[in-house]
Amino acid sequence: MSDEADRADIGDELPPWIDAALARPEVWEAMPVGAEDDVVDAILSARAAVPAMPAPVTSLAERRDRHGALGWWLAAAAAVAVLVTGVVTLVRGGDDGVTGGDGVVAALVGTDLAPDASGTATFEPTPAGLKIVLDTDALPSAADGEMYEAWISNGDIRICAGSFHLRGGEGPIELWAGTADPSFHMVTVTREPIDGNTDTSGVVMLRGEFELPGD
Amino acid sequence: MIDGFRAGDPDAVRAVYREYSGAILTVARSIVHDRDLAHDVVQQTFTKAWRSIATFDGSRAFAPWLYSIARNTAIDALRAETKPTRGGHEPEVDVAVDGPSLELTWERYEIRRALDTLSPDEREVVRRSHLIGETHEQIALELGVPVGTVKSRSARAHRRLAAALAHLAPNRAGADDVLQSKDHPTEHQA
Repeated sequence: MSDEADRADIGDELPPWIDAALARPEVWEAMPVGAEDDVVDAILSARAAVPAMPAPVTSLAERRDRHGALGWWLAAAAAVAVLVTGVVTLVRGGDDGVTGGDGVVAALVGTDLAPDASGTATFEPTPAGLKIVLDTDALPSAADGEMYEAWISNGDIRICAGSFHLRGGEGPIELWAGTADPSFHMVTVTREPIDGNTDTSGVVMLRGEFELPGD
Repeated sequence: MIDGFRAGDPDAVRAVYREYSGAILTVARSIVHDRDLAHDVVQQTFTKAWRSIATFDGSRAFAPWLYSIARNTAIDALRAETKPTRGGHEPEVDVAVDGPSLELTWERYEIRRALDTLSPDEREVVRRSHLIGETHEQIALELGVPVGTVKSRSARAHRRLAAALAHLAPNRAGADDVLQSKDHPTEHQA
C-alpha cells in the first residue's frame, strides 16, 4: 500500500468535512500552562468583588406590557419598587454622593460588542435638567485612551449626557442632559477614544428606551 | 459542575475550564488569528460566562451557551483590533467585521470538544494522521508501537468522532432546522 493510500485508509471512516477540519491547526492548539490558574483567579476575584449574583433585568417594554392599561407610570413605579426591595440595586443615596429619587427606569441591553453587559438608567426631570443615573453590570472598564459616553436621542437629535470610564469599578453614575423633552426616548452608551472629537464614534455598547412624562 | 461554576467553586471552575477551554480556544483562533489575543479571549470568555451565569437557562445545554459567549468575545476582540477610522461609518451602528460563519465556528467547536473526549493515545494517532499527515507505519515508528495498534487506535477514534459529531451532519447537508434546535447556538443566545 502506498503512503497516500495508507493515509486515505486512516480517514476512511470519517466524513470528508471532519477529515478536513482535523487538518486545521486551530483544532489542535492548547492553552499555555498557567492559564487555568489565571481563569480561576479571575473568577475568584470577580466573586469577591460581586457578593451577590446579578439578577436578570426586565425590559421597560415588558413591564409596560405586563401592566397594560395601567400605563407606563405604574410600570415604572412598580419597577422602582422591585428594584428598591433588592432585586437590583439601582440608586444609592447618601454615602456615595449619587442620589436618586422617583424617575423613569429603562433597562439597558448590551450590543454584540458587549453581549454580557446590561444595566439600568433612571431618568428624573429636575429644574436644572434631566438627571440620569446609570447602573451598569458587566460593562468592562474603558481601556486607556478611551472612555464611555452616554447619549439620549429622539431619532433626529442626539445629546451627550456625559462620559465615564469605570476604572474604579462599577457603581451608580450620575449624568445630566440639558433637555427633558418627552420626544427623547433612546439612550445609548458608546465607547469613545479620548481624542477631542465630540461626535459619537457609533461604537454602541449599551442601548435602551425610555419614555419621559409630557406636560 | 455548572452549579459549582455558578457558585464560583474553584474545583468546578477548573472542571469547566478543562472541558471547554480547548474548544473555546479553537473558536477564538478561528476568528482572531493572533495567538496571544486568542488566549485573552479564552480567559474573558470564562469570566464573562461566570458573570452572566444568571442568564443561563439550566434546562438547555451549557456548551452552546458558552460557545455563544466565546464567539461574541472573539468578534469583540477582532472589532477592537480593526477599529474603523472615526467618521468612516454611520453613527449608532455596530461595527461590522468579517469572520468565519456561526455554523463554521460551531462546527470547529464541536469537533474540538469531540477530540478532547478521546484518550491521549487515540488523540495522538488522530493528530499525527490528520494534522501532520503521517502514515500508519510512520506513526507506529514514532510511537514505538505495532502498526496494528495504530490501526486499532485510529479506527476506534474515528468511530467515536463520527458518533460524537453525527448531529452536525444534517447541517452540513444544508438542513436549516438544525440552526433552530435546542442544542444549537444562535447569534443572540447568551
